[in-house]
Amino acid sequence: MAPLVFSLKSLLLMKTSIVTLTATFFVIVAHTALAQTPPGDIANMSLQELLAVKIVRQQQDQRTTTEATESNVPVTSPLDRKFHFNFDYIYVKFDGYLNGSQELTPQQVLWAGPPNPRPNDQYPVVPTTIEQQVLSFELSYDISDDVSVSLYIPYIHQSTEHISIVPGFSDFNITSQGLGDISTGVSWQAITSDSGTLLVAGDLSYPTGSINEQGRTPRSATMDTQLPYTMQLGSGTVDFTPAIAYVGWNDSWLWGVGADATIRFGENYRGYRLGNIYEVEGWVRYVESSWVQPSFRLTTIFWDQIHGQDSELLAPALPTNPYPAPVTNPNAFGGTKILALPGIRLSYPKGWFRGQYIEVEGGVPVYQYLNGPQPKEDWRINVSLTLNF
Amino acid sequence: MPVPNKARGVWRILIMCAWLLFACLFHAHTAQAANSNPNQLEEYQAKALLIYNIAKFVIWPEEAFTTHPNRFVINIAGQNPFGNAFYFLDNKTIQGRDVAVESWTGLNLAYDYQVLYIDSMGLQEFSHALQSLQEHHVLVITSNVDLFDAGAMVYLGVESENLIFRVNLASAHKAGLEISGNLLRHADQVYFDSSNESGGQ
Repeated sequence: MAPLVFSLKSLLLMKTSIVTLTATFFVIVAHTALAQTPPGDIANMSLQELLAVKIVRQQQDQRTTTEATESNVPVTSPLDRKFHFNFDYIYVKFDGYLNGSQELTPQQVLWAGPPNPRPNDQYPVVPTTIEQQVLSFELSYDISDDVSVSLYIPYIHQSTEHISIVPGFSDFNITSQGLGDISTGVSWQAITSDSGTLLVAGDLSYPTGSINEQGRTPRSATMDTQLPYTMQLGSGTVDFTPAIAYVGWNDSWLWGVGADATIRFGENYRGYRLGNIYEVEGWVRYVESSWVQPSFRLTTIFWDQIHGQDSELLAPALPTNPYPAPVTNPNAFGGTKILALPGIRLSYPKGWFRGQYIEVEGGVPVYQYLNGPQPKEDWRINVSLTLNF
Repeated sequence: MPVPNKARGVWRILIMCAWLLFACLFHAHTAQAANSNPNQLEEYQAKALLIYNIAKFVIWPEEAFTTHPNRFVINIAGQNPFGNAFYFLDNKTIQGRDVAVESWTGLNLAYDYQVLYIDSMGLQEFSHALQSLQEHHVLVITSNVDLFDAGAMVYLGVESENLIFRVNLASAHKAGLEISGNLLRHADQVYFDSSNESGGQ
């Protein structure tokens, strides 16, 4: 799914069967029977009792560095909270076109139709605006002080407005929605000091997202046809994402730099492979307040063209080239963009709520150079809820 | 080809997520309960309890509560090693005041806190900060023996798998703090002068 230039990850599907629900119920009942003294009682321990208790030591160089999830590299917490949930909502809007750095309107990309000759960079069908929304759920677990494993499940909804020269389809909308590519990952806190940590991670993405999405397009007035690459929900391939990040801190600031790559293997069964994605970023967060923490992130993304093509997207009868829309042309994918993303993290640092937070981050591309004509990103926003147990 | 019914798939995913969340919430609740085994405690859970107990045996002058008369504030400096270990203080009071645990913001010039736990700071920087902390009646607690030698009032440590604490009474007196003998008799070491030469136990 080329224009969504952030990593999409994958997971094994679990069925919500009655067996699963029943098993969960009995696990909960059994766990209740084994529960020990309610937490409120330990405050009543006398000083003498407290000094007689056997102490289980923790390692002296451990730190709570859940903040390091900034760089998409989960960090283990040395404390009791071993489960980490992240609920994420991302909205990205594309509006207008770029060919290299040249800005174009949709009307400039639209071919006027015969008898006008068709330039190679004009098409009879042109998306005008694209809206992509991802609702994702990520669960990670600290299997040791240095190593975490994670599970990522995305749900994707996309909507594209079009204009075209095809009668009956002068302007139309197509949508697609469903499960994206699920992924599993592992991260390792390779080096830790009092002032920073180096994190290494790897994710494996599985082709659980559909690449068979269909809808009503000008290709046929009577039946649904295969939708373009941008409207598919997955890559159709197994993808590997290695990542590395350094996170540093002092009492007032948290900062980091990181890099990751999404490497795709083989071709999917529709005969193509989405382009690899390479990402480098730096970020800084002001952490003097426990309640409100502003941040800023600068992300540079490079991504490749699509290799191969889906033959069902071609219209061989068209003059000049067989691609009816720019989002069906594999050569009109790939490019470079730099995103400037200010953000803010909100938390309530008392009791159970300490360590949980809501984060909002949004921004615009400050630079884009695209293999075009290609829809250009207009703006994006990301709202995230993180819970630690 | 007809478009498949996506709604059923969405509901399945949402139901699965809800069950996972419920199961883990329950795990967290019973895990907290399991940690209250009186025969064994994790280090920073025990230290959090000890800080609470120590605070109950220290007398602060009234001017230490000028900014927030109804609050008793424990500040944790730097990266918080306690996590949620102070959860037991919810709805608790110390000397009749509601207890709050907050992050130390370095240059909190209001000094509206009564206890500061600090483990990591340069000795020169700490020496400069200590005088202001004493002037504002702050009880400084540490697990860093260097900071205790530099004048922190209470040291928390673990020896032979048991929690111990040491008190620098001279430093506490400079901060205008009175420490009950009921606390001192449990201390591993009590230092009566500023050189931290042991005065007993």
